Amino acid sequence: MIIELIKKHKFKIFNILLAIFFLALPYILFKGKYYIGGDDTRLEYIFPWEYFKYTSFPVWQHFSALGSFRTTQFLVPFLLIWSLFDIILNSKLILGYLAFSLPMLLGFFTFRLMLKEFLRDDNNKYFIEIIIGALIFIFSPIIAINQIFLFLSTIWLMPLIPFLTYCFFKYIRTENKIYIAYAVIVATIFSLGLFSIPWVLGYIIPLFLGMIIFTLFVKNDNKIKFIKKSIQYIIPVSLSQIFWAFPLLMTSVGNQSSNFVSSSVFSKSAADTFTPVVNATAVGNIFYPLINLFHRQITFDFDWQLRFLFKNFYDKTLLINFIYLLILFIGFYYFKKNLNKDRQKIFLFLITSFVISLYLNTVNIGPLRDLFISLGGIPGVVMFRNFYDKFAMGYVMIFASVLTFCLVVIKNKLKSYKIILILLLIVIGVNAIKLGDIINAPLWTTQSTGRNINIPTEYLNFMKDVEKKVSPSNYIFSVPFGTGLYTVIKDTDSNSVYMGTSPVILFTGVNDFSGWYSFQLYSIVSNTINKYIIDRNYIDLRKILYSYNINYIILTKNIPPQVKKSWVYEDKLLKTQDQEFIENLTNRKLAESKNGNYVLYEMKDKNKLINGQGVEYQKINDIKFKIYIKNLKGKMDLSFNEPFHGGWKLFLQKDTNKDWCVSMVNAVTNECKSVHKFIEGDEIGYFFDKSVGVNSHNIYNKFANKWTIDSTEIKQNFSSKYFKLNSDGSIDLEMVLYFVPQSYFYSASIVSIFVFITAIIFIIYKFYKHEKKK
Amino acid sequence: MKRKNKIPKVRNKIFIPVLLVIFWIIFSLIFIKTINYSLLTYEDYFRKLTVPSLDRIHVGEKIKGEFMAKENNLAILLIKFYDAKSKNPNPNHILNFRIKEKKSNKWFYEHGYNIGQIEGTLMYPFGFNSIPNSKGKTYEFEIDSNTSDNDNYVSLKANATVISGYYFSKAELLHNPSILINFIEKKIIFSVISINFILRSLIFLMPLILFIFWKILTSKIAKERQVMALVTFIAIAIDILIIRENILGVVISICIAWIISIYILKIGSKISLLIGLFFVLLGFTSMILLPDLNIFKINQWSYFFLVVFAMQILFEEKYDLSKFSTPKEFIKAIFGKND
Repeated sequence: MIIELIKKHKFKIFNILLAIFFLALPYILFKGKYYIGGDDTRLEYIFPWEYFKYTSFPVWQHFSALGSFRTTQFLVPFLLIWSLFDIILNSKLILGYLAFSLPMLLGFFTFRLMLKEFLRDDNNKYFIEIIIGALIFIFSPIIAINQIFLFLSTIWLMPLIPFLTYCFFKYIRTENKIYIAYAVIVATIFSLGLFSIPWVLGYIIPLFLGMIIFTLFVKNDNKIKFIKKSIQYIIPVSLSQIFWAFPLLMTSVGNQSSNFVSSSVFSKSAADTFTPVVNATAVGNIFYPLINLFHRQITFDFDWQLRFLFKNFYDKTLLINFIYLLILFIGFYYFKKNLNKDRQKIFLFLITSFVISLYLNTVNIGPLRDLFISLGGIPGVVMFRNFYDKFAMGYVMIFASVLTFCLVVIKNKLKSYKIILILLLIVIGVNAIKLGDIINAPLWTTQSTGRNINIPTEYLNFMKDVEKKVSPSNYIFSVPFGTGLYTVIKDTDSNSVYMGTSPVILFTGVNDFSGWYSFQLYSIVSNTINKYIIDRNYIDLRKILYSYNINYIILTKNIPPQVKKSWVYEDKLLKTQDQEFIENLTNRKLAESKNGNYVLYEMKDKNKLINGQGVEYQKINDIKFKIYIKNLKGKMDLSFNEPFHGGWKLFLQKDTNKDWCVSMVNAVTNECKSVHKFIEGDEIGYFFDKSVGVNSHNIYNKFANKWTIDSTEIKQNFSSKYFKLNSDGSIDLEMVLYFVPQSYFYSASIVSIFVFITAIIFIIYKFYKHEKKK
Repeated sequence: MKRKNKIPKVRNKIFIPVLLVIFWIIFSLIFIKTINYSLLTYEDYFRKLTVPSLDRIHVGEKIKGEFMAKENNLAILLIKFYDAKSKNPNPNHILNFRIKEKKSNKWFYEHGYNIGQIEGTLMYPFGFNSIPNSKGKTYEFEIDSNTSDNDNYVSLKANATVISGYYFSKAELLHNPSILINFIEKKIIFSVISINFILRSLIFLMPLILFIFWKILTSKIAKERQVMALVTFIAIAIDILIIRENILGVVISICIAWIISIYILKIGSKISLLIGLFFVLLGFTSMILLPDLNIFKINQWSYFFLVVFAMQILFEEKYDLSKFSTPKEFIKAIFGKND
């Protein structure tokens, strides 16, 4: 009875077992610690709401750096859903581990869907081959190094790309628009993956070129129909992404853009590095990717920890990986007689794309290397200077698809195919065992410092103190000031550390400056700060920190020695950030953590975010401030200590009053206590409203904003509703200082939300219709 | 009537090939940058070279060499290093070069070169003030390095190429016809007709190669056709074993030769696939067992045959071209009896 039941539901049981395996994986790998750190911090998976609130919603952003016009709105749908998960699960650890499992789990299932569609396997005839194909993809050592080890937002492309490919081909074949609707919904939820444009292109380019070459040779009368249907699919999916794509486009057009894509695609510095980077990294060959391994030589040339894995493991098990080569060549050799015509065509298309992808992922192929370098002159190609990274995921996806077809060929051709399948499963398993070693590799340039921690209660409580004592319009200088924009948080019961972008803003709402890259748009400032620290020139250092509104210092005392010697800190710079340094910069100690590992100091010289005579202000969020000016007579200067951008505008408010300023931060400052609000309802209107002092908006103090507010001009150009006339002829003004490009996000979101809701309604309608038919 | 028939033969067999040869020579002389029109260079086959360690020049060791100057105005010594690595570029990593006349006690020229400059160069030029009456005199040179670790080093083989260069100013050449004639004669003999020059000039030989291929293609003699495939493999072997540089002309010529072989012999995609597989396996073998083999050339040809295979299967989808689709048929076609 049980055996019959198992036989009947064997596919479902298999799927459940695999799902359990993927969900259990982080518990085995990380043993109860968080997998956090790096450029992306991965804290969004544990603190989604905080991430949404401070770094993802506003287009003017700080994340341990000077404010800049950046686009991270691609995170918004995911963070909102993840925040909901946070409430439901009520456990940060489970939430974090789920985030680790989900890309692999979903990737495994969506990749199977894609393969099933490629093979048109409606009867599950090739169920096992498809499963193995998906396992090759998920457990590929290339994916482990390129995606799972780094765990950047590109990881979400693992489920997203196969799913969108599946929907695309399914729609082309069936013309059922429900697949467009599915694609729109999934693309919206996982838009954080689609933002990784170079990686997406790393998959699309080989397929697109393969498709062009394929159509040149293969007779097909439906080319126009195919193009038409492709456009029908691409337009709604693209519109679903417009909410982040439009602001992103505007950051590239406007000044001081610092988003990743625009800076890596268009900036001169990126273009200048293309040839040297390609020359330095194009050292591999096609042999390793052909056996599903990462380019060995790069790991040695750049002293990656992975080189030890090559020496101790991959070099020794090299021969077993030849099974991939064997399957590939048997499949290529016998496919004509062992695949039906439809499958043959798809296989031909995949082989063409595979060969292109192999080149793009290797580059170092005779004269083709020079060809790739010369392509660097084409605008945008510069984003592929790390070709071994950008094309890797796309390569593995195409490689695994091709191998699946080869397995089908072998199944149809060879009687002993089961032996090959078993051997292949063993090889996948053997390589998968090392997944843990790759993911848990020690911190780069350290010998044994782990990267998985539990965020210490001491640190979290200290952050609460900081939040209470520092208003969000101030900035903090994190000491030791490093070479990146990283901070180090040491685990309580081990020497492991969180080393990643400083998360102070997530826990306190206050931005900090933690290293050289904190001033990336003004590198000269970083260099000057470094010089002053090394030279112990405290007078000039205080001046420069004052000008950037840095009014507090956080000192971290428990950084492990191995980390101090790592690439994050420059030895000379670290040595001079000692007690003498603290004494010369700070006035008093404001707070200290329980064990004394974290200390908050107040700077000797304190600046304000908004300065002007008779000015009081309140921070609403990073892109909106309320300002009240008392007794303005004639002209006055208003300065705003955020980096200059034309998008910052002042808008006069009707019925001037100061009801919003309930209490001051303290008696000395002119700052009203901040009340964080995402949106107050008047924001989109500012896109069309007339602003004040446009012509006088200038750069102040080499980086900040300054306006001249002229009472006469206001009296002449605005109705009396916009100011309060005092008996002495002076006026009181209520203004909103707003970053107008935020409206790009709002207006584009309307389009994306409309497309998203339409897709949901369409699915419900189809479902209802289908049920009715039944 | 007979005269009329001869014209196309003359055009095909003499005029066009001669024209293409002229094109090759002229364009090679104009565009190949390795030719310096003020410099005469001689590869010194009879020089003495003492290399203490073959793996690299260790700190404290000295490479000693000796050669006889062939001309006056000795001004440069080009030395082919086997390998130079500068993983952590540092201005303090220095390779010292010094030269003097053998009987002199004092070094004529001595200079330190950054190792980073040497990395990636095939022939490093050590230049110095020209020595007017150098002809027939024996010169000694020494090379040593202050850096020799796994990441930063220079290595030289005992059979390294050493080329001496002699500088002639334009004024000297124009005012002394005898020197000019001597210069042109030597330039042609020793410089132009060098392997390096010929290989580089192959790109300009392409029209002639294509013309010859075309003639073979349209030829009715089966033997000539079969030779094409064989020549291709020999050329690939030479490229892997002998030519260390990537020379576009060589690569394109071989690629075209194979593609034409496929066309005229009707070689099936499976043959290209198997040759590709052979090169892939050779690549792994050379990585594990034969590190001296040029892995990047093997890599290049592996990929080339994979691409050809991919193109062929697409082509075969549209046209039925395969005649020799199995290895047996293919080998028979090349080595077997002619049709």
